[in-house]
Amino acid sequence: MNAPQNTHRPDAHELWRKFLRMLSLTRERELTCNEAQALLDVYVDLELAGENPQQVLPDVAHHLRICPECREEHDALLKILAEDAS
Amino acid sequence: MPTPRDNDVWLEQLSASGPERDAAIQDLLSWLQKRLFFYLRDRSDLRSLHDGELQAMSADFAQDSVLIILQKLDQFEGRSKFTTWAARIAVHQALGELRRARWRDVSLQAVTQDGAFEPDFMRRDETSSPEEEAIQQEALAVVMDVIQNELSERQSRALYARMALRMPSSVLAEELGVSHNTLYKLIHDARKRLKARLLARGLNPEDILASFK
Repeated sequence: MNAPQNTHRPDAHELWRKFLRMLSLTRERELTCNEAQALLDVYVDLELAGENPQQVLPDVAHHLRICPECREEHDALLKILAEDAS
Repeated sequence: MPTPRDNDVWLEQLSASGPERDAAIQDLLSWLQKRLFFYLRDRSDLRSLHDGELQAMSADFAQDSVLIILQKLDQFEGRSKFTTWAARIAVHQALGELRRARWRDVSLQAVTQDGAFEPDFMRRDETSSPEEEAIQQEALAVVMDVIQNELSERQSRALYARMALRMPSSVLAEELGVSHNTLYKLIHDARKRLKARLLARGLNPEDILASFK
């Protein structure tokens, strides 16, 4: 399979800020990726229905703020389904 | 969209046998392949690939995904639309493959220099005022102290790989030989410890963030 090239590392200050933001968002109890993934379809359906998933599923919303991979998958899913609906 | 079906019809047809099942599978496969193709074509990191290559990639991803979907059919609880659930599995499969391909030749051991935590990303902001710089220096000292004295070597490496290198957790878990959940707990425990130590010194991460221009 043709693979994309690895991207460059972000600059030092941006990483430091992301690190601090991550600590700022850290909670005693958080969803794991598997737990958040299991609710991602429900979360996206709510978004597509014009409802407020952050209110209905706040733990998933929190996870999406701290996990770049799950956020990427959320954005991809939303894009795929939103374009399909349009 | 594939031929409109409600959740019950999808489940019934995909669980059946014969031409009805074949048609449902083909519908799902075609729909996922098409959606994945348009998604992949929009990704900036895949711009160098031709449509033919992207079509082949999306066909592979869709086929793998349909196999997984069929295996997991009994796990669908009906809390979302079936197509959303299926697309979620396909996206996870496709992006997982892309991440593994991107990191295929990267060794965690090599990039973390024999496991040493490389703090070069934790530099203070030279444009800050003396007061802001003092906060940043104190925070940096606390973070480095925790990393060097309280975290295990594995935790430090995992934290560095995730935060500084942006290594995907699925790739990192494989590198460390642990499950995804174990890795999450390893890093979550490290984050909690770091945050607690900063707060114990009166350093709120949000205040430190605010000290950066």
